[in-house]
Amino acid sequence: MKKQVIKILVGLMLVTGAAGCAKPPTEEMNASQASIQAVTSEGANVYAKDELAGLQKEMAAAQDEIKVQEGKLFKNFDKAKEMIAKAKAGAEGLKPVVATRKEEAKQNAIAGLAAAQAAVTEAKDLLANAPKGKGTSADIEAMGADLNGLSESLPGVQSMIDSADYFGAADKAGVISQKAGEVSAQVKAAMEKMAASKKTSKKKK
Amino acid sequence: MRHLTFAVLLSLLWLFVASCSNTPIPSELSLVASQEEMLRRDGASIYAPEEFISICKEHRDIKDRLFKEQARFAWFRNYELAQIEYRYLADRGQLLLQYVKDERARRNNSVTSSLASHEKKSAALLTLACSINEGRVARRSLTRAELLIDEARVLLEKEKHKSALLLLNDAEYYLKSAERSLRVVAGRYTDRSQISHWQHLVEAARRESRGSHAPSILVSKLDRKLIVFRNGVETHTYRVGVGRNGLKDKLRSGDQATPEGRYRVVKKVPGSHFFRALLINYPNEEDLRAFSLAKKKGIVSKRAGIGSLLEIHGGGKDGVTDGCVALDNRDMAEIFEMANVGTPVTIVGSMSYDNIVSAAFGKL
Repeated sequence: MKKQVIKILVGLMLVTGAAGCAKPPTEEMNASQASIQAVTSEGANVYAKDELAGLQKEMAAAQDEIKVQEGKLFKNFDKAKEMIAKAKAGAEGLKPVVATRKEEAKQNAIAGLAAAQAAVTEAKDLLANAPKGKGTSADIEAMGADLNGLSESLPGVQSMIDSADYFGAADKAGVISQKAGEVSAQVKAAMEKMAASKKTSKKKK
Repeated sequence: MRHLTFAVLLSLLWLFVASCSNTPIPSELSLVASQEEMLRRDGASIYAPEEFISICKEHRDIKDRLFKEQARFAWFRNYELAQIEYRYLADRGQLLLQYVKDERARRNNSVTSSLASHEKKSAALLTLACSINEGRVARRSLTRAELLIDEARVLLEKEKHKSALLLLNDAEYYLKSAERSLRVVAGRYTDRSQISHWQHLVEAARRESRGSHAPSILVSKLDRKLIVFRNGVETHTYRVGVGRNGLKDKLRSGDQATPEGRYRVVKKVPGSHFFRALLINYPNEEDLRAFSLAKKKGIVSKRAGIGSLLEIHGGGKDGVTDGCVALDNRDMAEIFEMANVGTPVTIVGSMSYDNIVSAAFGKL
């Protein structure tokens, strides 16, 4: 009987010792954090803000779980490991999403720049073909100055694309396109007005 | 012996149960956690980064202490301190939430008001630039300023206040540049002594026509008006166009400016290239003196000529000329009939201080 009690006690001590000596998943934690860091530096903080916040929340919860387990007599880090693994998988899964969104934003900015360039060119062509005369030369000069201002702003869009500020570039390009469109509309309106006045003067004759 | 074994097992069971029992943790923990989430979402890291970091750190520290407390033997667990700390942190969080809300609104207002001020300036300068032939000199800068203002508006919608303000600063540079260009051209039109001089010329023209049925012609360049006086009374008013650099006082040949001063019609040209024309005696003695002085001062080159053949002619009021005063042909026909050789022609910059230039610069 005495031997039995000793066996039980030793067994319990071994179990307790084994459970108490369970190590926190530091390596897994570091690896997971590295994955999150990597996806952040790839642009998750810009292109997947909500998803990144979710991952960070998961990591914080895993850390809490580790701390809770560290304080226990019978430590069990399985749940923490599971949470860390989930966060790591989430970070890995987010990489292609970030890459796709970044590429979309880039293509959108490039398309925006092309549209802005086309809008400025169209306005310049319209202006170049506008009938020049005493009545229009001042307006043509003024609109030409407007278009020069727009042309000078185009390299700024390219610089933003080069520095990967795709959203900013798209915004800037959009504003330039809109202004160029306004100038084109002014030129067209002036041309229509001139054409109308020519018709009227012909009728008068 | 059995009793001993039973006692040991019972003790172990009690130990196990006691260590595993869950004393409820303070409810404030979840409140603080959700508060932190709200702060993050509301942009506390932007509007109050230091306080936000401090609160997050404090939260972690309290949580660590809570976990340590949680790890203690059930009978000795005491969450009172943690609860107090959490309550204190929740109060701090609440204050920060309010501050973030206020700061966000403050920055929003600040950018909105700066945007409005820039828009007002830009609109005033554009109105002026569109009203005068020389407006082209400012249009390039104005366009760049307008683009930046529009971009800032987009950023304001996205609540990127800092970036929006930076763009508005850049816009300010272009607005100032546009303003400088316009002041060089039109600054005289806000100068009270200059305007007073022009007003004397206007009065002289009016006086000259008194007691005479002969017309006296007055041209106000900024107002783009040609007025005919008879007997000191304004009888006709017409719209006119002036030189490409018409707001300037003509100084030399080719400057495309429209001269200012008192002249007379020296020739009537019925078959002008521009419908009909009245040639005036530019340069008069005053113009010759000013030209000679400008040459001496090196303002104009030694080889420059003073220019000639300044006319009031037809061809259309909407055009820009090389310095002449242009009217629509129908109006020119009327004036041609009224004027004779010797008819006085007075050309001034503006008749009043309350003009578009003063109004535009007054809004800046």
